[in-house]
Amino acid sequence: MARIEFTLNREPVVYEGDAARRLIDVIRDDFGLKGTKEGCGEGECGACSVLVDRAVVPSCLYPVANVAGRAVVTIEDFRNTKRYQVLQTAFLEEGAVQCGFCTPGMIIAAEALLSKDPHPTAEEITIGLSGNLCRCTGYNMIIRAILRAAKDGDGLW
Amino acid sequence: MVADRFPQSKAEALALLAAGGGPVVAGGTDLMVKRRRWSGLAPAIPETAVYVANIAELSYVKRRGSKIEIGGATPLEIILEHPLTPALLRGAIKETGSPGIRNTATLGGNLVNASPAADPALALTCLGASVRLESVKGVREVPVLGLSTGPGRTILNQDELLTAVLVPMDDGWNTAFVKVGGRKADAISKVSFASAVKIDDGIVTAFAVAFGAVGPTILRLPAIERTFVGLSCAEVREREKDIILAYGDVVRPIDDQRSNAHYRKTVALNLLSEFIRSI
Ligand SMILES: Cc1cc2nc3c(=O)[nH]c(=O)nc-3n(C[C@@H](O)[C@@H](O)[C@H](O)COP(=O)(O)OP(=O)(O)OC[C@H]3O[C@@H](n4cnc5c(N)ncnc54)[C@H](O)[C@@H]3O)c2cc1C
Ligand code: FES
Ligand code: FES
Repeated sequence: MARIEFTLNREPVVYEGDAARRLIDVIRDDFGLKGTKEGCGEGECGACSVLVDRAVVPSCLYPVANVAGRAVVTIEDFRNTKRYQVLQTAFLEEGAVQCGFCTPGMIIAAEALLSKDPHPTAEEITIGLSGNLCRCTGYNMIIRAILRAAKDGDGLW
Repeated sequence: MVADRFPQSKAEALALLAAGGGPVVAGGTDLMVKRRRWSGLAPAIPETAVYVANIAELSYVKRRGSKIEIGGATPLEIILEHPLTPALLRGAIKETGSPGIRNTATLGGNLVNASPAADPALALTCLGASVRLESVKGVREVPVLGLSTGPGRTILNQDELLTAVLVPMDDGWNTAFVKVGGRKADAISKVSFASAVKIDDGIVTAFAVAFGAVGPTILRLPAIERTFVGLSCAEVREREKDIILAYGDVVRPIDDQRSNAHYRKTVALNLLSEFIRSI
C-alpha cells in the first residue's frame, strides 16, 4: 500500500492504496469527481484529460504514483474560473458541443494550450488538440471556438 | 515502507533495483496500457515497481562537450521545447503521440520499451546517440543501436536504470524524419525513416539512415553507410539502384494487421530513394 500526497483541485489530499492505480479511477471512484470521462482507456481519445502541474495528461494511463507532490486539476475546479466561462461560451456559440462527451477533455486541452500560448494559430490549435477526439462535431467548430476564446478572453491567459 | 517505494534520487532508485525491485515505471504510457486489466482494477504492476518519473535528477537537457545530454526520465514535451535539442530528435518528437502523451512519456521509456516503431528512438539511432546504464555495481555507456534485441527486449540487466541519453549535436548536418502512418497521433507508426548526412564541398563526409517498423528492431546498417563516405553527392545519386538493392536485402518487415510486409518494404525503400535523390 502506498501513501500519496498531492493537491486535487487546490485541496491537499492523501491517497492510500495501490500505487499503480490509474489516476482516472482515483479521481472518479475515490474522490467522486465524475466530470472526467473515460473513452478509449488507451491514451488515444483525450476524454480523460486532466491537468497535472498545468500540463494536459491522459488520466487513463497515468499511474497515481506519479502525481505525488503535484497539482491535479479536473474540470470540476476549472469550471469555477473566468477562463472556463470564456471557453464554454465560445464552444456553445461556435457549435463545438454536441453530445458533450469529449467536451471536458477538449476544454482541459484548450486551457493547457492557451496557458502556454495565449494566441495560437489554427494550426497550433490542431496540434494542441491532436490527442482529443470528437465523434460528433467537425474539428473546425472546435478550432473556431478556441480562436474565439483566445480573442474574447484576451489577457486572461 | 512508503518512502522506499518512491525513490527521490537516482541512488535510491538504483538501491531499490539492486534489492530486486522492478519493473521501472516512468511515464507509464506503455506499461499502463500493456498491463491494463478490467475496468476498476489497477494495472498489473507489482508493489515492487520503481517509479522514476518524479526523480528531478533524471529530468534535464544540457550540453556536455560536443554532445547534448538528456536525463533518462525527461518528458518528451520538455525535450521538444528545449533550445538545445538536436533538430532530428525534435522532428521525431513532434511526430510522437499528442501533447498529453508527450507530457507524460519519457525518453528513457521510449528506448527501453524497445518498439521497432518508436519515433524518438529512431532519431537517436540515426544520430548515433548512446545511453548511460547505471546500477549500484557501476556505469556503462552503450550505443542506442544495439540497445534493443527485439520487440520489447533490450540488453538492460534487471538492476540497471537508463539514466541519460547522449546525443551528438546535428548542427551542419542535413537531417530529415519522415513517418508514413495513419492518423497523426496513432500509437504506432507504420513506416518511419530518419536520415542524417554531412556534406562538405560536395563530398559526403558522414551518412546515416535508419528505418522504423520494418523488422524486429530499428534498422541501421553502418557497414553499408560507410561505403558512401568520401563520395561526391553526384556519385551517391548515381548509385541509387545499388543502394536500394543492398537495403532491399535486409529490410524485412514483420507482417501484422496494420499493413502488410510488402507494402511496408515498398514504402521504406521509396523513402530511401527519395532521400538519395535529394542528396
Ligand atoms: C496514445 C499513444 C500514442 C503514442 N504514440 C507514439 C508515437 O507516435 N511514437 C512513439 O514512438 N511512441 C508512441 N507512443 C508510445 C510512447 O508513449 C512510449 O514509447 C513512451 O515514450 C514510453 O515512455 P514512458 O515513460 O511512458 O515509459 P513506461 O511505460 O513507463 O515504460 C516503458 C518501458 O521502459 C522501462 N523503462 C522506462 N524508463 C526506464 C529507465 N529510465 N530505465 C530503465 N527502464 C525504463 C519500463 O520498465 C517499461 O518496460 C504512444 C503511446 C500512446 C499511449
Ligand atoms: S480515455 Fe484516456 S485517452 Fe481515451
Ligand atoms: S461532442 Fe460528441 S464526442 Fe465531441
